Amino acid sequence: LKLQFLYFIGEHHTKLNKMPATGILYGHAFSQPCRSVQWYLDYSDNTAVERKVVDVLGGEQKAAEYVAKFPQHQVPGFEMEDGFCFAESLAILKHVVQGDETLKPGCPKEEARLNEYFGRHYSQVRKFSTEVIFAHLFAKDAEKTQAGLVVIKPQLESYNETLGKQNYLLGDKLTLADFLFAPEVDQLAWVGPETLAPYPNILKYLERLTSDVKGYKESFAGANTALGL
Amino acid sequence: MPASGILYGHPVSQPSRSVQWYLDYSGNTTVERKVVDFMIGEQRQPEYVAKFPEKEIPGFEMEDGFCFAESLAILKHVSAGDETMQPQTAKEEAILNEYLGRHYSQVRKFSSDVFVHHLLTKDEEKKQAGLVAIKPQLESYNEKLGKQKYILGDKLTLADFLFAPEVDQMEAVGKEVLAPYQNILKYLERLTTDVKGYKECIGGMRSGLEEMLKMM
Repeated sequence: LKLQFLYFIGEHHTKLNKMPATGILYGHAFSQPCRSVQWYLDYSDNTAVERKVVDVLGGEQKAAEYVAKFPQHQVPGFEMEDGFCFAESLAILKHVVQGDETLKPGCPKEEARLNEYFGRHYSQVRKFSTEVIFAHLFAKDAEKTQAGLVVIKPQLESYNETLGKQNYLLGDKLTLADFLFAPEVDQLAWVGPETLAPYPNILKYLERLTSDVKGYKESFAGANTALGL
Repeated sequence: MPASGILYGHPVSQPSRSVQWYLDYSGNTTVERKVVDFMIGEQRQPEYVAKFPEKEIPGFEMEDGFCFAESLAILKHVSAGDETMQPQTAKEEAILNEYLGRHYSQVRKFSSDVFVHHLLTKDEEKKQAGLVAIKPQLESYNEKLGKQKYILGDKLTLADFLFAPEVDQMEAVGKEVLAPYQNILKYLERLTTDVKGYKECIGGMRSGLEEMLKMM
């Protein structure tokens, strides 16, 4: 009886750790790192995290109230229930996904590959894709847009090749890498339909996400709507 | 058990330094270290590319031959068994991951621009642009380090292992780069006296740089 009681307590505590994340996510529907987190929350049916829109196009991220929480005026931002605030999509994603066993690396090698992607995401994928999107949408500089597309080409070629052999970025299992990667890459389509045409495996991957992964279709549609596209 | 395997790196490569420093700090003698001479393009040799197709350093090879790159991934792997480097609460984890994001998108992005354009491309305009871009970061960290011992508080974390090698290499550009940031300079002195392996880390960088400059 004592053993059964202890087992129950252990299970109860384990289940407590698997409670969905709570708090407030501050973001905007067209911001790629915001989309990464919002998509995960939809994918995991999380209704416990409140979502607040920060009008970044109107400069709301520089308003005093926001800066008091997020001094670097970044989106996305996350506020825990006790008011503790932090930014960076990697940090927020890792926080909200904590109880989700399906997205935890299953071994040191899977963890190494995931962390390897995190490094590349910031230093390559996101770095180059934001330069293209910024030049195209905001600076409206066609020359810089094209220059940016030249820079990102090796990345796209490499991921196109990878995605010709497997369903998702790191293999045949969905990982946090997909939640970061897809919103950076799908937005390149805004430059024009020809932008991703040379990368059919990436296009098929995005179609696969649309049909197979909850929340992705809404994520891309939301970004389009936010920009009136 | 301490990590084992092979670390491929170079004493002047900031991300390589981060990992090498941690290995020295933790007294690890089971990870073999191999120098990849990127000045002569060793990272593009077929043998290296077979292991690390993106030709990056640092690279890590596990004992069974599984290879992966990126300093973040390697640092997390080799420190996995070190409880003192694991965040103890959800907040500590959030702050560390927040820094990891900023490290790549801000600190490393700008510092490597400055370093590359100063040393390799000799593009003065781009170097100056990099110095302007990194200024807000240096000001922000200088302010923080006036109130706490390390990057994320009064406890050494993986963030310090990533941050310090990016920032200390600014000395190669000129002493005037870090002179306005007295708290950062004191922080680096603190690392030199208080944190095992850092003195050797920066010493190795200086010797490595000297060798590089002789070849150029």
